[in-house]
Amino acid sequence: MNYFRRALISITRKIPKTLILLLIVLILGNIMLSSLLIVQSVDGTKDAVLKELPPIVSLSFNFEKLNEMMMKGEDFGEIKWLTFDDLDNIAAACGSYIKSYDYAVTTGMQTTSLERAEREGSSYPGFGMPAFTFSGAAIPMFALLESGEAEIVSGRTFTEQELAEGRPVLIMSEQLAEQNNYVIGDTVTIENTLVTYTQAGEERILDTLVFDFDLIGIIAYKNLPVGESEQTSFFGIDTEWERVNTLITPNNFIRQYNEMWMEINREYYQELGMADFFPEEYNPLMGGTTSITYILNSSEDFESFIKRSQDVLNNEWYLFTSQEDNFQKVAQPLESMKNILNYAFYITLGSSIVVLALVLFAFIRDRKKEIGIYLALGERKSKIVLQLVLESLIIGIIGATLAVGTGVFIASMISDAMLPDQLTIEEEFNPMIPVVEDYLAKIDYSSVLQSFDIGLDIRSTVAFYIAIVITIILAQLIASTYILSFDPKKIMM
Amino acid sequence: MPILAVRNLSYHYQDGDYRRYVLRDINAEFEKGKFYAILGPSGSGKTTFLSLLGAMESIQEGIIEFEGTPYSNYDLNSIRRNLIGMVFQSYNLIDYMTAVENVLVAMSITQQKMPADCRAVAYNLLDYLGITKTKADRLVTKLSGGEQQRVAIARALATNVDVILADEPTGNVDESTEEEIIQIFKMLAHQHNKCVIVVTHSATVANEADVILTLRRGGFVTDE
Ligand SMILES: Nc1ncnc2c1ncn2[C@@H]1O[C@H](COP(=O)(O)OP(=O)(O)OP(=O)(O)O)[C@@H](O)[C@H]1O
Ligand SMILES: [Mg+2]
Repeated sequence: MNYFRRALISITRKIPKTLILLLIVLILGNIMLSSLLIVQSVDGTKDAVLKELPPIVSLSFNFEKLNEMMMKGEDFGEIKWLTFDDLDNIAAACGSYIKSYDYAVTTGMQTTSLERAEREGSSYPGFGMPAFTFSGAAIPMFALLESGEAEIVSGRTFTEQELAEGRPVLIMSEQLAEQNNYVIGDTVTIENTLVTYTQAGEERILDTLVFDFDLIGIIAYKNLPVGESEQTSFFGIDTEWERVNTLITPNNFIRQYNEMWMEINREYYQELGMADFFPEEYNPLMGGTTSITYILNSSEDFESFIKRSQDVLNNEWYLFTSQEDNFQKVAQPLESMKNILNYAFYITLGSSIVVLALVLFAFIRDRKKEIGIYLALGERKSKIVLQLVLESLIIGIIGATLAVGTGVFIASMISDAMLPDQLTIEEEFNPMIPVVEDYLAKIDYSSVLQSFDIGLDIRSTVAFYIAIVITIILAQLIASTYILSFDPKKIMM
Repeated sequence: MPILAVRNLSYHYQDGDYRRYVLRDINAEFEKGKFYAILGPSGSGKTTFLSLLGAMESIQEGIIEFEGTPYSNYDLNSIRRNLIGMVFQSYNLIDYMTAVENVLVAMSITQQKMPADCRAVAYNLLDYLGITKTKADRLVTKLSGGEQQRVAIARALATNVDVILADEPTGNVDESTEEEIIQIFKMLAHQHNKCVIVVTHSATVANEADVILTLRRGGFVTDE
């Protein structure tokens, strides 16, 4: 009849005590476990959603900050534009995280050699010659392809050599190719005229450049807007559609092209006697419309990559955005539920210790005589406490195991009650802020909700048992301090 | 040599600033094989004296020796565990256990060498004291007062101690049961060579004792 046997007998024969304790552990255990499960499920959902998507981080100019400062009339001094040195530094410091990175030097171009492909029911919003965009690629699997935003439907992508030499090779959208009746292998001749207006208001042609491009690839975009355009943005241009009218070439071609135009412009400014106003050096990344797309090796590296790169870049005009940030935005209700239940867990843990300690204290008072008998028989107080700890632990572990059965169910009920069925995020639209294209996949709430699934996992279960064990041991020890005051003579004689 | 020797034992309760002495400079010796009865009016300090002998509380002044070794050389727990068995007026059994389990509790706590088959020994002991196996397997709450007191005596004996202390062990039982319990104590003293010390108000008990000690005004008045 050692303390272990005594504990077992007490559990099996003092049924009301056992049931009360079991019930308390079951109730508190369910709250603790369902909090743990929900917290873990939200994390699991995030991992699942992010794992499905290419791990992309976008580095772009913070137009919102610029806009805000302009609105407030703050003096922001000179903007520190991103340079290629910055990109090299990031690549060197964070090479282990990066699978590849791409950026697109872009430039506008007006020509009559091509017809624009317009969105159904729309017509060209601009004036003068039709406008197109040259957008560059740095690597064969440029961001558009790597992110899955577009795929090549005929032809091929650039070779390393074409990219390095800046060859005049072209990839265009299927809509634009169709509009102009181009097929792979065609030569696309583009005549590009730089026009200016004299003070007298006369049109003056500064120069005309003619390029013969090889059409090597035709791409299809995955998520083009359908139907009629509702939202026009930045100066009336439908940015979501505009990529259809984008010509993709090697970055180095665009750089050469821009340099040519710079020369022509410089001459003109010199002619006007305004050469001083002209920038000395051409930085293709100036202006902030170029975003850098980093494709990482793993979606687990977002945080560390961004932290490291921010330190290396040390430029507050630029922002790193990851898929994780997008998830956070869309999965707000999940995240806030997770935060609430995270608190709930610790609050329950804390109050469980107090509640249990009080209950166990009452039990000890109830068993004062029994404990007095053990003391009178010469039992050590430590052994008595050990017996009590064992009793509550055994009941607690049974209760916890029952809670494991019901916890999943209760967690689902809690999350059903807390999560809205739908979520509409109001995108703030500011016509003063240009939309810089990034290749972060759009994540929508319903697909997040679909991935959200409450199930038992080993980590939460183990954490739960540990929490229960700690709670019970602590509560029992606190309650047992009462025994220290027990005097067998007073109890027995 | 006496198994228990009490030398200059005094005991007081603190009453505010005032010490109220209950026991004053007591000297006594107790031997194995004898049945002692301690008498005295209510409040004379009998229970206090017995609780000191039973190591239920610490000694304030004076010495109690067990076979020549003062109690202060032991820790109180181990005296209770290994050297002395106690029987109380209100039995003090664990109510959710059977008779035999109550006996086994004491056997598991003591550090005295216990037989391998404790349970069988416990049944035998109970049977010897008149508790059959059927009754031994009953919850103690389902036994009569006399039977419960026999279980309590069995528990005190089970650890093979030589000293049995009892505080009004027949206070809650009828006369014929009282007589049976007295016979058990006598048998323990005379046949099993135990030192049995019983505090009592009962003249019947006192008449059967080998030695009667009367506590009065904090000291013994001996009339053998
Ligand atoms: N914890 C205590 N604090 C203060 N005084 C106490 C305490 N316990 C007992 N006393 C007092 O000590 C004296 C002796 O008490 P004790 O219980 O030893 O008497 P007793 O001889 O056993 O009496 P009874 O025959 O009624 O059982 C009494 O006057 C009692 O009031
Ligand atoms: Mg008394």
